[in-house]
Amino acid sequence: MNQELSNEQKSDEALMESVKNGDMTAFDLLVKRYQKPIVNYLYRLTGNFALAEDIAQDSFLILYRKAKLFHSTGCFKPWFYKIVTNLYKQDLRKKKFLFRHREIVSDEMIEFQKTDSQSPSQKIEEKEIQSQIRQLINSLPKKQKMAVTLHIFEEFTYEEITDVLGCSIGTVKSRIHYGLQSIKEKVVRMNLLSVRR
Amino acid sequence: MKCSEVKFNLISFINKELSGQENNEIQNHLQMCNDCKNEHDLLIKTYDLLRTAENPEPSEDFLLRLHQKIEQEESKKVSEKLFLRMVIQRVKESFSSSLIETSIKVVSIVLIVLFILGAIIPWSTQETVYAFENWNISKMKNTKEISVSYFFLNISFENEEGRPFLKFRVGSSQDLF
Repeated sequence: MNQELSNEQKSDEALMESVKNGDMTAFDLLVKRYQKPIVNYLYRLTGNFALAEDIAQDSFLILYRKAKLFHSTGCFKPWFYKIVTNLYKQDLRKKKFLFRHREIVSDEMIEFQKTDSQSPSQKIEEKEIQSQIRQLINSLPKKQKMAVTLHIFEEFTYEEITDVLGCSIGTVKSRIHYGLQSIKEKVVRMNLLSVRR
Repeated sequence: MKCSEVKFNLISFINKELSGQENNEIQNHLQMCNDCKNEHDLLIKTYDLLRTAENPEPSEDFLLRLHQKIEQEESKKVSEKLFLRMVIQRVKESFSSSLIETSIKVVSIVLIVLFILGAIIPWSTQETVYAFENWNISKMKNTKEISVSYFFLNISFENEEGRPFLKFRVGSSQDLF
């Protein structure tokens, strides 16, 4: 119990050191910390919740297997997101190779958390807006989508995005710039801002 | 600062990632330029809209499934290790005899295989007898009856001058004629 309490206060990097020594409790804590952000990050990239969970599971499996490759001086979050992003890219390549790749714009509806206090019509409206937001993100080219998702939803700095995507700061800035410009134009065209008021 | 420059840096401005001077320049520009101010406001609203995107919870059994995968992988690894160890053990056992003994075994196996090959190659009966009775190539060369054969096996223990000599040759019968 004491160990669990002290583990919870540990930083991600300290937990990774424990995982390196085979501490399963530390690994579970890392999974609990990151499962939601990682699944949501992948959900935004893939547009498919089941696929997002599958890739997230594989990512944590690699994290467990390759824990020894983590440098104690490094920062855990970008390092792990790089693994996740590479797995997503690998999955995409596999699908392209098998001629099964489609731009996944899934219409699946995940029950939205805030819906309890909403009337049925508000719920429908909320679902509609959520679906449109998903489509806005999904409409971006793959590279812009990754940069915009990391920037807006994961709140990564430009330097961290550079680490994850393996490109220069200038490239990251321009991908975010053009990605957001494109989303903004669509938002105006779809009149989404007035709906949101 | 030009409008195009301001517009390109608006994202960094909103995220407070610019230096003090650049920040001030853009702030001053936004107070004077309505077009850029509208762009700035629209961008902030887009950020706000995107940040209202749903954040669904992962399945409740996410961790449980992950543990199962890890267990499966570890048991697979153990069985692979055991299999590899077993194979190495077998190979070690079969090579436990001395090197000379092994080489003799290999050479005998090769000779037997070559002999069997020679026997099953489609020679005509007469020619087969001739070929196996006479190990001398020159005699075979003079034999005009041999017409269809694909390989020959020639082992002779003395050379043309009658001195002890080991000669071993395998090749296409076309070489003979």
